Parts: sequence; structure tokens; C-alpha cells
Amino acid sequence: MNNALRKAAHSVTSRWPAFAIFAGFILLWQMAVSFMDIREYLLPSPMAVLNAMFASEIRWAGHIWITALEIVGAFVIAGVSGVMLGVAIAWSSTWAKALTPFLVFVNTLPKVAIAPLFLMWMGYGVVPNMLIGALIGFFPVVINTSVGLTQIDQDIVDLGRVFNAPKWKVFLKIRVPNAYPYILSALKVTATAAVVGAIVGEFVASQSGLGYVIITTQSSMNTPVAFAALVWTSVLGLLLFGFVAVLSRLLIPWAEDV
Amino acid sequence: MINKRKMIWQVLGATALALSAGTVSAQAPEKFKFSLNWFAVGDHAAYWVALEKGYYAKAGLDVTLENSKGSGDSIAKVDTDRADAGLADTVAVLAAGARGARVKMVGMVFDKTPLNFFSRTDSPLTKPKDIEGRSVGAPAGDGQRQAWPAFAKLHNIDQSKVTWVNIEPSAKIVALAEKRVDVVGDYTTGLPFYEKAMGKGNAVMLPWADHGFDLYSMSIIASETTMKERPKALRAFLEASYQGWRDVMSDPKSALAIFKKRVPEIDVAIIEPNMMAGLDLMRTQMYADKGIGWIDEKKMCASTDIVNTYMGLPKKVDCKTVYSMDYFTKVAMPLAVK
Repeated sequence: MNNALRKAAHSVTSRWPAFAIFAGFILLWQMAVSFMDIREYLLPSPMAVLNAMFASEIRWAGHIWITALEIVGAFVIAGVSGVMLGVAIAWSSTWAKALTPFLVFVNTLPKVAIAPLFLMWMGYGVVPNMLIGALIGFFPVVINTSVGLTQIDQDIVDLGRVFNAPKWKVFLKIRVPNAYPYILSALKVTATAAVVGAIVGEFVASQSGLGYVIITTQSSMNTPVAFAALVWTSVLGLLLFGFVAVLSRLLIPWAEDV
Repeated sequence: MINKRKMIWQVLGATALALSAGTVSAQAPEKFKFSLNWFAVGDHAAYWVALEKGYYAKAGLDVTLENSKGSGDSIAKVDTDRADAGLADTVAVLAAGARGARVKMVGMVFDKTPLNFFSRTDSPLTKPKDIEGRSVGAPAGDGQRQAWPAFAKLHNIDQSKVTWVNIEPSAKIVALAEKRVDVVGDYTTGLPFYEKAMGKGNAVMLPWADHGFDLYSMSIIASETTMKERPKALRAFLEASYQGWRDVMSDPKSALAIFKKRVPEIDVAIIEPNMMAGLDLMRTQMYADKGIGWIDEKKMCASTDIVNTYMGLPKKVDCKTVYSMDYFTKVAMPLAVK
């Protein structure tokens, strides 16, 4: 127990360079606003943003909840569908040849342009935004899953064959664990993509959510609140990213810290 | 041997030529950047006409017209001197003023308000109170969205029974056509765009001006810098622009031809009715008496009152400081009052 606590404390304190960067950035920001007489609606001070983050005039809890739902949903859909597609590609070369070009095509479509189409087909709300986020975030998972399942030390696969293991057992016992680090690093990218997708969807059409707050307050030049919503959005992104990091620690404790 | 007489005539001739070149001076024309509020719409034609016909050049101005992404963007550009003047909606200008922007309105475009609600014929809004229980789509920063509390108060509408949905500008027409929302807030001048998507006769309008609501809307703004350091250029720009408007009113077809020549991406079939609807908003007694672009103090103060009362701004705006008629020149309106 003591060991786990010590490890947790160490993982925070060992990140002091990151804290230093953030602190330096905020200091520079505050100095710029104070000494350059920048108007608040163009660039608010860090203090103004901090105050806005807890201002009672905005129903923060409700907006954060909606966007969090969209982000988690997008992440789960992207993760599950990405892994399934990656498995299909790794399982047979026919599937690989059939699916890969189409998936590349879908991935290159600009999602900002597709979002209005989603509005037309599905209306606005949490589910369409989940799908937009999933569309942006699924591809890294597909690629990394298929790579992780196929880039294996041939000796280990041969070992399976020595024991007369059927193809599916080799897959499950050897290929899948090999793929964990690849999948998990892709999920880190997917975490950020899910955030982008949720916000893009809300920009196009929404009734609530952090993206809704950003765009409505930006246009009424209430920039401190817009920035505050941005900060809350990145908090959600960081939490999801952290979740994947913890998951990595649990599933692949042998892997090095990324 | 130098022919003295010939030389004297040559010098005199050259001097006369130099003096006659340009009404302002023999210097190069002054650069002047004007930020339009959006991508090409009907009420931009006047500035392209003034540019094409050389009204700006005659006034010694080398004018560039630049698109923006809405009134807020245009205000920010002018306020930070990335543009010398611009187009912006009055409500947006007042809100920006309350947050520290230092631009002022120096001319008005529409004298009658274009604020309006669009609905479908299968569930139309026939009177303001009908809106209770419906969903209304509008982009963030939309004029209708911002002035809504005042309109609701005027007509005793229960605001809790109306759901506002944020929809980006390029998606709002489709949202109404595909029944994703019941109502969309958009200027009356937008009718041709809605009819293109929904079919002629399927878009229903509820113009706020017909229901007792008036408010200044599209205006011309200038920065503190422009007003203080380049008043002559600003006055010249406004006069030339109003001359452009005069020409649009007297000969809309040629104006459209010029617009299409300068901005080939426009769809003339939609821009034409869009532009003509805008002209209707300028054919008022005020403009007929005082000239195109006149700002009336009483109406400006009434507009400011509405914004101060209903928009929850951080500080109240003083109507006398948000506009200036110091740069106004009267250009008579060639059309009769409608």
C-alpha cells in the first residue's frame, strides 16, 4: 500500500518540468495582458478566466456533463470499432485489401464539412456528436491494432505452432497481448480526437455543452467565459488521456512509461 | 542653344498637368481597408460599385474590400486597426462597446430593421406568441438571438417555452428545411436563400418591423484611429460609398453586373432578390429627408436602451458616444419612400 502511494506521489512530483512549463506560460500570459493593455474581449487575463470557470451565470455542471458524455461515447465507439476493424484486417489479407483503402478515404474526409451533413441526417444532440468524434478518432486504433497483431517476433508464433495451437488461440494468447501497447498508444490519440469531435459537433449545432458555451460567448465577446470553457474542455481531455495512461499501467505493466 | 520660350511653355504645361492630376493632391492614393461583415451578400454591392466606378479613386482612396466571419470579426478587425472601417450589426457594436471596443458607428445601412423569423408553411408562425413551444435555430451572435429578450418582452412571450439551438450559419437553412428546428432567426433579406432550399412559397416570414419592433441593424463602423487621424479619408469613403448606394438604387441591374464581375462566385439569381429586399429597408422617410446612411439620435438611443435593458452586458452603453455624424455627407436617395 505504502509502495503504491509512494509511486503515485512520485509520478506527480517527477512531472515538475510540465508544471514549470504551465506556470511559465501563465506568467507570460498575465504579464502580456497587464503590460500591453490588451482589451479583455481580445485576450482576458488568467485571473479573469479562472473566475469565469466558476461563475454562477453559466450552468457549468450541465455543459460539462453533456460534453463529457459525448467525449466518452466517441472514445468508446472509436475504440471498439477501431479494434474490431483492426482485428479484421489482421485476421485475413482479403479483409485487409478490401477495407484499408476505404478506411483511409473515410479518415481523410474533413469532419468539419461532414458535421453539417450529420445534422441533416440525424439532427443535433449527444449521439451525432459522439459519432463525429468517433469518426475522427477511430483510424489510429485500426492501424495500430492491425500492426500490433501482425508485428510479432516470428519465434513466438512458431512456438504456438509447435504446440499445435489453432489460429484463433495463437491470435488470442500471443497476438492480442502483443498488440496491447500499440492499441493503448493509439487510444491516447483517440482521446484527443474524441474531444475535438465533440466540440466540432457542438459548433455546428447544439443546445448545450462546452462547445456551445464557447461559440455563443465568443460571439457576444464574452471572451473570459469562452476561454474558461476551453480550459474545462482541456481538463476533460486530460482526464481521458490520464485514464488511458492508467489503463496502460494496468494492462501492460511491463511496458515502459510513454 | 536652349530655346527659352519652349522651355517656359514646357514647365508651365508640366505644372498644369501636375496640379490637375487628382482632386486631393498629386500624391499616391491613400490605402483604405474596409471589412465587409460576411461573404458576399446583396447589401455589399454598393461598395463594389463605388470601387468599379472609381468613386473611391476620385476621392484619393485605394480601397480594399475584405470578407469577414460576422459582425464580431469585423468589429475586432476595425478595433485593432487591421481594417480602417467596416460593416457590423448595431447590436454587436453596442455589445462590443460594453466590453471595451472603441469603434463608433459612422453611417447606417438599413434604416428599417431586417430582423425576422422564418418558419415552414406546414407549421407557420403567424404572430409572435405562436413561437411558444417551438425550437428556434440561430448562429451564435445572430441579431435575432441577441435582441430576442426585448422582442419576447414586447409580446409577452414566455421565454422558458422557447428553445434556442445554436446552429452554424451554413447549416441553418438546411436545419429548417429538414425540420430539425421549427423556426430560424434570419434577416428578411434572406428569403431567396430559404426559398431555394425549401421551394418557392414554402418559407414563411414574421418580420419584426411588422410587429412593433424597430432597432438599428447593419451599420458602418470606424476605428478611433481612423476617426482621429484620417477624418478626411473617412468622410470621403462614406460619401463615395453612399454614391455607390445611390447607383445601386437607380440601376440595380448594372450594379449586379458589376458585383458579379468583381465577385464571380455569387449566384446572381439569389443575390438579386436579396439585394432588392435590402433596398426596401432603406426607402424610409428618414433617408428621403436626410440622405442615405443618416443616423437618428432618438432611434439610436432607443436601440441602445433595448440592448442595455435586455442583454445583460457588463456595463451600460451611452448612446451619445457610440456613433458619430461628423463624417456624414448627404447623398440624396433616388428612390421613393416605400
